Amino acid sequence: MHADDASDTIAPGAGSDLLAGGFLFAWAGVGWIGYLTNERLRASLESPSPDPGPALLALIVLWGLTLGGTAVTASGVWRRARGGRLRDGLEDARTHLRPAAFVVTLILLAVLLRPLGFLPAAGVFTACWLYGLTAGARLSLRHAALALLGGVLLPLGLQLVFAGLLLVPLPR
Amino acid sequence: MILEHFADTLLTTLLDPRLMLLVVVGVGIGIVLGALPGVSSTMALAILLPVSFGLEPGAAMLFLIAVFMASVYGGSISAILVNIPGTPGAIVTQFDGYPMAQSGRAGHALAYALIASSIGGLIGLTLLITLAPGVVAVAMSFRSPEFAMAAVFGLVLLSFASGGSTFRGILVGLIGLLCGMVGFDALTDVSRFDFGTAALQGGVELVPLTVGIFGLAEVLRNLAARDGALPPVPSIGSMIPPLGSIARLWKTILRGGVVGTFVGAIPAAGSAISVAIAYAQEKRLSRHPERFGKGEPAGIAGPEAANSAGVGGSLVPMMTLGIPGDPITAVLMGALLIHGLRPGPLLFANEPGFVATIYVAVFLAVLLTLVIGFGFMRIIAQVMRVPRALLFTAIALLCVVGSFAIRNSMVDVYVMLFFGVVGYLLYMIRIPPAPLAFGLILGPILEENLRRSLIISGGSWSIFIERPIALALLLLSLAAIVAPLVVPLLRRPSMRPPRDGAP
Repeated sequence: MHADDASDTIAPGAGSDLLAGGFLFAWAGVGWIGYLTNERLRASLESPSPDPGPALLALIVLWGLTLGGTAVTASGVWRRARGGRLRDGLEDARTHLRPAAFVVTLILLAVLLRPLGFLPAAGVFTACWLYGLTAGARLSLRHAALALLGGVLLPLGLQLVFAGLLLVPLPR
Repeated sequence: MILEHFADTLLTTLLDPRLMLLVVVGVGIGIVLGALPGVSSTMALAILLPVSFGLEPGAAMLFLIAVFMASVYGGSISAILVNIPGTPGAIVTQFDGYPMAQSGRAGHALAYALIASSIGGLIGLTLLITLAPGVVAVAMSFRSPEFAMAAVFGLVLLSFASGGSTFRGILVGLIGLLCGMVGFDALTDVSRFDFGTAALQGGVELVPLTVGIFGLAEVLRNLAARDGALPPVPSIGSMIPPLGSIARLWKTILRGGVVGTFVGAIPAAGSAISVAIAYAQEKRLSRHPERFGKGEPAGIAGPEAANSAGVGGSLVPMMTLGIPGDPITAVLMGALLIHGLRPGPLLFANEPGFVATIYVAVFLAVLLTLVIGFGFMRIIAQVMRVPRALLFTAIALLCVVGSFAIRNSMVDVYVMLFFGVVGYLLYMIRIPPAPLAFGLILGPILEENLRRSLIISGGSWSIFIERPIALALLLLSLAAIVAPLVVPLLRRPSMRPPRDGAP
């Protein structure tokens, strides 16, 4: 067998299993902190009332997440032990750069909506992304003009439909 | 009685220009969004949910169901013209639709799909009106243990059908349950998982969560995907196929409609399954199975009828039991909850007029999809030329505006962004995100009925095995969990996939 063939015969998914296990543990961890630091919630289990209390389902869910996270992590460890690589089942990290940048700018948009108002903040967001997604790193006057046009028309259209027609308020 | 309500509501709607405009706009937007690859029916509905906030419940349902029905047909347009299904339900339509378009008969293919979709939608509606009272009659005998087990069954089944591993789907459903517990407990006023922050005390709203995982997360997925320009849109040509060839499809459409309704009515079965069954059935029954895959009209009509009929079917469990059958009906159920209406058997008893509004919405959406589809197909086809950058930016802005609009609160915008990222992370690690929404919707139903059952039984869990329907639902839930683990082990060695390196 060719040395490189090893990579073709290994069990897939070690990386995604470990990440999935970590993801589930993170939720379980936050949940357990929320449960253990909440004295009233824990005390509700001891209540003499016939109602089993608000802690019952919470505990079932937290134990489910903890045990499930353990099982998924164990599966990842087992796959890794069988020769699975950490990158198996995952895409190249560079794939996620654009979505990450998009989320960061959306957070910025959310932060700036109140101080700047909907139209300016959404206009800048739209124009920047229209330019970025169409022209990329190139300098293009045509794309810049189109992006500016989109940056004006799109938020204006949304404002018109939501605030004007449907009377649904927009952030100011 | 429901037919009287149906006739009344239909007349009222037809005579109200504002309501008719809402349905027309809903159908137009639905067809366009459904036709755009990358925008699923669920996403279309999630991002347009906030539009319904300013409307009264009946008008909101008219609009949303119009979007839902029309987007189901819209998915077939891109499947036929550019070989990319706009929605999962149109995945089979491309098998024969695209070859037909390539041979210069794109208009005929679109017309077969439109006619079959419309008739299928009406079959689905007829069976919905016929089946729902029977299911409601059974559901009226449900008490807390049955409702608790129905919620568990729904959660398990929906996790099973969300794609990927059932086990992982259930775990994501548990996260949804956890999110549903954030805030004050309705019975005892004890706060849960809010970490003392005022922002979380009101709980996690369904709209920001669904908009995040079905709207923003999908945009992020599309941004992560390699840039792929859509193939050129072919000329549509004539949209009037020979009448004889349409008439020959009546059995195909009828079969597809019936299959679509019944498969759609099974919680979690989904449109992809019903269209696959309809296609296989038509191929098996055809005198010329060799023509399938090469532009056979029955290969378009059967699945399209099944796809649209599935809408009526999927409304059965949602409306009668309060269990959403798939992600789309989960979003639709969210809209009902926002407007203070809880689907379930009591909806039929207490709000028969509203139930009739839903039927009318399906009926009008089907008819208007047919009219708008035939009238404006050439314009709609051009929508596929909309730059993807503009589309994704617009959807992202809609997500922000929509989540803000529910309570005029920036907290909901941050919650939406958070769940958008969570949805994207779930996609990265190959876990379906939809059970998160199911958990949030079914969590309160489960908890309320679980606690009430235990109060009734004095704390004894045997109440769930002493009542036959509750026991049956419990066993079915267990079977759905265990089956994916056990079935591969029971397969004969010859049926198992070869081990690594084995010849």
